[in-house]
Amino acid sequence: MNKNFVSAVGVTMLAGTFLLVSHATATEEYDVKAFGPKSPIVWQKPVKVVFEHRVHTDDIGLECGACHGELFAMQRGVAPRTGKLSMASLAEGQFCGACHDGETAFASDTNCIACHVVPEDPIVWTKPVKAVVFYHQVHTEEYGLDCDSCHNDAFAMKKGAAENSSNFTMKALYDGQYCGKCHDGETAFASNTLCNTCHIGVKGYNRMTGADPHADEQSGH
Amino acid sequence: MANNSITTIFAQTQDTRLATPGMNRATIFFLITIVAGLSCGVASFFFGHEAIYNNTREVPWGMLISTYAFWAITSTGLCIYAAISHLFGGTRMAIVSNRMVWMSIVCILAAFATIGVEIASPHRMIIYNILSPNPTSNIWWMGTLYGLAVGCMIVEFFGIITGLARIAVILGTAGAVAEVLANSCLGGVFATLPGRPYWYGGQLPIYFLTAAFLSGAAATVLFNHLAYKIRGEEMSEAVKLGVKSAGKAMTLVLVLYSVATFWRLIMYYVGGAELGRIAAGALITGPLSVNFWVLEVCVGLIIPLLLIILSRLENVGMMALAGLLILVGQFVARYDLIAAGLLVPASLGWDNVPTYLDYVPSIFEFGVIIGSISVVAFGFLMGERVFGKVFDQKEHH
Amino acid sequence: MNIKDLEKEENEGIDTLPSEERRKFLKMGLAVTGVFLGGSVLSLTAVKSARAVDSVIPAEGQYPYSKHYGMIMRQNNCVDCEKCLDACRETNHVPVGHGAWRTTIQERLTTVDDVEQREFRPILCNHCNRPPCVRVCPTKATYKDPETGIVVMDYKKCIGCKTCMAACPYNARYFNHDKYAIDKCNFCIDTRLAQGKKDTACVAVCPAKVRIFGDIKDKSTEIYQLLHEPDNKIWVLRPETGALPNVFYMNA
Repeated sequence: MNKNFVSAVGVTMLAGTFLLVSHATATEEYDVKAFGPKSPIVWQKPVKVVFEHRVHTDDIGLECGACHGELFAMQRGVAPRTGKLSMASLAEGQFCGACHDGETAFASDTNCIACHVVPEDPIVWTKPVKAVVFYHQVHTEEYGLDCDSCHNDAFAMKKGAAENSSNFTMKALYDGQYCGKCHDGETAFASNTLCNTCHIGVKGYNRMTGADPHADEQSGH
Repeated sequence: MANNSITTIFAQTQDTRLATPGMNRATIFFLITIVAGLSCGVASFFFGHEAIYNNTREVPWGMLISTYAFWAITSTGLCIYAAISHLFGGTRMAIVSNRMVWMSIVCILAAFATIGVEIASPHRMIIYNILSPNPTSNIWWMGTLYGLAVGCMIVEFFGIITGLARIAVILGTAGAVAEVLANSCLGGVFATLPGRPYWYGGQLPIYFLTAAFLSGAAATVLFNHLAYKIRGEEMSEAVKLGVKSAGKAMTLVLVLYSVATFWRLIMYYVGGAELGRIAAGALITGPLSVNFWVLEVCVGLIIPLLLIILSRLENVGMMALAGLLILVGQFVARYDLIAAGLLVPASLGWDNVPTYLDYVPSIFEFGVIIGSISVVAFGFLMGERVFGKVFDQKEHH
Repeated sequence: MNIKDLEKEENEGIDTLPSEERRKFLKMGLAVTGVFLGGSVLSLTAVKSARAVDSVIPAEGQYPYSKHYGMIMRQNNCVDCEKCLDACRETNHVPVGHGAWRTTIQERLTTVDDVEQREFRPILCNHCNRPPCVRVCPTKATYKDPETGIVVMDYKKCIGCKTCMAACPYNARYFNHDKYAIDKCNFCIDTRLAQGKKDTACVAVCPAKVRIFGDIKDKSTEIYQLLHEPDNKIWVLRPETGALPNVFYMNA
């Protein structure tokens, strides 16, 4: 009985220690050269942004105090939680914008994909009609477009902005808005042709989202 | 004699040799399976036809329709042979013709029972078949003519049991004509649908009539053999000769039917509509190929032919077995014919539809089939018991 | 004039004759042979099946109905947004389940030069001039509306034999488990046309103007103009069945 108790406590403590250690290594592995976390810091809010700590410390040679303190708290996740992290605040010299002003470092309204990532998953609009697909990668990689080819002229950066606007229609496209900015028959195929290149329909949408198209349509039994 | 009361008629027609416990048990057994089987069909009126049968929008017909066609076709065959015998009294089959008339009635009732639970609103049929007939509809003619035929045959049968030979011959002939026309319209139901290339064409009604001659002869041999089997008696020479004649007819039509089947399928592979070819492919290599090659061709055509050859048209028991196998083959052949025509999707090439749609009869559909087979078995036993003496003629005319 | 000279003459053919001329000629011939009754029966059937031999479009002046409703699909405009399906279901109370629909959109995916291509095709009842479903119905529960040529249902007469479903080359019919009768598209004859509306629910809602509905006899209608525009290549589905459908297809 006594033996059992000891071994039970021993196993529990051992497991606890192991869990703690493994948890720490997974999230906060310290890199001496980076003077910070080994893996890049990834903010999910307001949009996905990747920050390489090491580039700013080891490569460029900034001191901790250059950013930590006034601009960014040491503690992880404070900046996104402030709700003030936006391209607008950067332009006003806050957060990254303190250096990324075009003089000290490249301006925050240029070189977007240095920090932002091109979405891998296709965008599927379901309004005003179901459903239209857009592949970022086709436009950036195959046709070599930059972010500012479309943003913010044809499309606002903000997700769902076009979809929720009342004039996201084919007519607007024919007038040179949205996709129609390039899809005019000269720069790219005209938006009143090849409809089903982008329009994947309800069937395509269901296939893409894995929805069962016949869930409420069961034929027979 | 015609003025005798019903009890005296039955006293004269019933076969007391069959009043045995074994017969009673068998009769009651089939009565129970009729109730159980047809209950599966009647359930459709409570739970919805669409809910308990596996038919869909794309495959609106299935095993119930094919079984209806099978019994209707068998009924036609039996009726034709009986009428020919009655009309031309000299044929050897005349001696067993009364039994054939009875079985023809029984088979058509089995057919009616099957289709009665297949169509969604039979009560509307009774009203609007009369109030709103459509003369261009094969279904209307088929239903009306089969109804007429069964009416004629029941009166004919009444004539037989009461000894009114004249009424029997006249109505027997009328009934047979109605049956042949009804059978032809049944073939026409399928043959006149250009949207279903596998069915479309002038061959099908003739094919159905050939099938009627085949099934009718097979049923004649089988039921006569069984009639003597249940009595534990030997056939008289005259009856034996009659059954052998039916066996000869069965052999002849078996060959004709095989030829018709062969050319019918070959035709789809030399050109014509793609949907017809794909439907034929369902039988040759597709989802119905086991049905076709094993049951239709081997069990239903080749083995019976071998059995007939082995029997040298002498061994009635062997011919009866051949008859049973032919009926099994014919049952499957009707199913394959209906299924192949419907399994081919009209939207082939679109919506990623499979080459062959999926249809497997539901447990309820199988229930109805068992019920309809029981109707025939029950009818056969009851016929032998109640009218046996009329069937077991020593001489005719 | 000998045969060789005759051969050199250009054959004006009956196809090029105006129908008035043809009719006159026929009348004369029939009067001569004294089979006028036979002739009128013949011409009656000829009107119902009126199509030029090499065209799917009804021949001029030979429409059997006072209004001859039809629809043309500008197929490549369809993007499968399926607003028409929802509008139809709502307008005509089409139940959900058991394969019940009056109109649907089919999809075909093909790969051409490693590029995946998709096509959408709306389908519905073709309201044929020679409708197989109407011919086979035992109780006249389905019939051509004598005014408009629309194939309609008289639900109370439907016995549910499903022969019309087997007969239809277009899979346009379904078993309506609410009505316990066969049901189908009727160009919204009861739900919209009866209220004076000029189009069907699916047409009204289509954002891409895929579906054009109207009287194909009336020269002022858009459908008439589309059908008779020489540059338009018009086709119908399953012409080989001889059903003479009134739903046409073209690419815009």
